[in-house]
Amino acid sequence: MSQASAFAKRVLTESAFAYFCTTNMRNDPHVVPVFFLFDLTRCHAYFLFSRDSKKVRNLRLHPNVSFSVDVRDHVNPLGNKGVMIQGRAGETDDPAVDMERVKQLFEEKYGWSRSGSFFRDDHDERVLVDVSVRKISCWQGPTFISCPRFCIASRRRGGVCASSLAGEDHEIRGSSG
Amino acid sequence: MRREDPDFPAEVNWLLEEGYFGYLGTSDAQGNPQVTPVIFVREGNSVFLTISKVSKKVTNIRQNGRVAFLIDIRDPGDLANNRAVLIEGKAKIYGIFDLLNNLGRALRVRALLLKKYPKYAAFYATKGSLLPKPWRATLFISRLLVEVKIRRFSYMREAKPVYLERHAE
Repeated sequence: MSQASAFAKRVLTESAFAYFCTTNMRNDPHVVPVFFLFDLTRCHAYFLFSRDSKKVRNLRLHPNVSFSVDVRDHVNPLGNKGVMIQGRAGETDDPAVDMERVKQLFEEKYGWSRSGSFFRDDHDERVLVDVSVRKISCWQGPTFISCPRFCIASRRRGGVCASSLAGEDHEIRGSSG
Repeated sequence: MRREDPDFPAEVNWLLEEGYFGYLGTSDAQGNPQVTPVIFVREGNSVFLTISKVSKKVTNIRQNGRVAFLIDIRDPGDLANNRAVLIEGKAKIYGIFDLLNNLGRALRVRALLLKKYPKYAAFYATKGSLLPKPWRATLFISRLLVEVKIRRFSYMREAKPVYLERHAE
């Protein structure tokens, strides 16, 4: 596994925040910081959103979404690293997805804060949103890497991410910024 | 607050001034969004960014100028204790004539960037020539100046929206 793939795996499983971007009917982007889980085996991301939030209303209209997870370096711009995912989102109705298990995983990842449980008092008003990954872009300083190979789903035949089918990670110098 | 600044609520002003990274959400003409972190400064009723000429952000903005820009401050000790402001606005990519017509403002933006990001500025001054061309800081050759005029904002505290008084347009 390349260094980039290892980094992408780590950041997607360990980072607390993702920045989730949707668009509305007029194609106006909307960005919010969110908590998330990333399933490396299925290459899906899970989010628990308020049922009536703008992002949920948007993804019902436009299921194509994007989210970024990054590590910030306040001193060296080459130290900035991150992963951006583009995919298709939907409120999950997959019976194979154990909602209680997902909620438990969220609690394990985020635990308890001074404000109380991660779910606090609006537990029932949340919907589970599942993002199937279509493309992963990963940057480390000025190096942009498309589709790290760790993602099993992106290598499946018929997957949208063509570059990952070619084999190795694709490195494009100087494409970030 | 500077005199020429619009009357934003104090919480929003604080994020606009003190936020170090922002997340620019753009979308192409087909409604495919993307979001990436950028550095920025606030000048008056706008935020300014310098982004790589070859980035997807520039392609998207040329297709659809409507953007979202999120600035947040994270509290590593308490995940629920975060502050964020979401700006919705129109992005404008400065061409040479725009720059000449707004030279005073562009120079203020440059000074603000140097003041806010002195370590980045020092890095680019000493090691910038070693970087790939699209990553360098040279305006028009490698990067473009982008203004996002703030049309609306939403303030979020403890992972929930908080409605503050509307600012002057």
